[in-house]
Amino acid sequence: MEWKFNRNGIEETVEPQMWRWEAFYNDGTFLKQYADDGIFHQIGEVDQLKLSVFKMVSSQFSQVYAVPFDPNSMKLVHKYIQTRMLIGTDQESSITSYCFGYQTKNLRQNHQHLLIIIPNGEAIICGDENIIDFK
Amino acid sequence: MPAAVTLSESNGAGETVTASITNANMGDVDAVNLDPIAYPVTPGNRTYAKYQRLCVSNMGGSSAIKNIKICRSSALGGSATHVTNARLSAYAGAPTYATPVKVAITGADQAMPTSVPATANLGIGGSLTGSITGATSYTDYLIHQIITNAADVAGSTSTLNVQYDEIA
Repeated sequence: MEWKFNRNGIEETVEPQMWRWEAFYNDGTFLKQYADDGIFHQIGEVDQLKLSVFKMVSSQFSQVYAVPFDPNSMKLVHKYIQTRMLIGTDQESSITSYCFGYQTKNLRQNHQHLLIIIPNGEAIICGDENIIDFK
Repeated sequence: MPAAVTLSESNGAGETVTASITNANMGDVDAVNLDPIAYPVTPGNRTYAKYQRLCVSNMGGSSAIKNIKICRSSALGGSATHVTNARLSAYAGAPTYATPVKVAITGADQAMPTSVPATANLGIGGSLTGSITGATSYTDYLIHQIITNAADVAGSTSTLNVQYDEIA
């Protein structure tokens, strides 16, 4: 299956990722990053005001990671952490880690609660993404 | 597919840009993909500085690339040091390209980190909080060079690593 993304009127084909997000809303609807109709959605399209559960699913791993979401107190976080070792050489290798979770709102400090899915499918629960340091 | 990000290098007067370099070897010549055995550095001298940038040639469905963290792994030989303009604070903005030299370069005086830094140390658009939102776009120049020691007797092999956030 192919997924298409429209960037400024130009249609691009987006290759699948090992992990992809699914946003479930409190009205029973949902939005998938890689939608069943072949449309690729960006994280900015998630309506956080009615977000109920944010999931990470994979076609290669059976486990599902889910974060219950409270729009009143949480701000969604989702990004890929790309690590490129030996960059600029013919032995270069890349590792994609999938970081998601939330920041707490309405506090004096922004506290992050993150899960980082590493290549073996395990998730690290942390408050600081900087624990990721592949060598 | 994530965004397509490669390392480019600039060389020479007037700047010849080579995309997707195949090695980042450093030596006694201003050249891309150089052979360090053919151009060894006299102990006590500096290598020619490297002017390298990350180039985003395809966003791959992502909306932003940011939070660029550069570091080196593996030790240098002898008492050599590795200096760079990459830094965590008091970032001096986007450096201007200049013909690479083998003497000290103003602003390229920070020790290259040997583990992934806690925050960005290479800017985009002159800012450590900058981001790339479209192709084809570059980060700021990463300027770096190795300062050898007169007592050093052999070269060394270490690796340049990059970590960045990709918002999809």
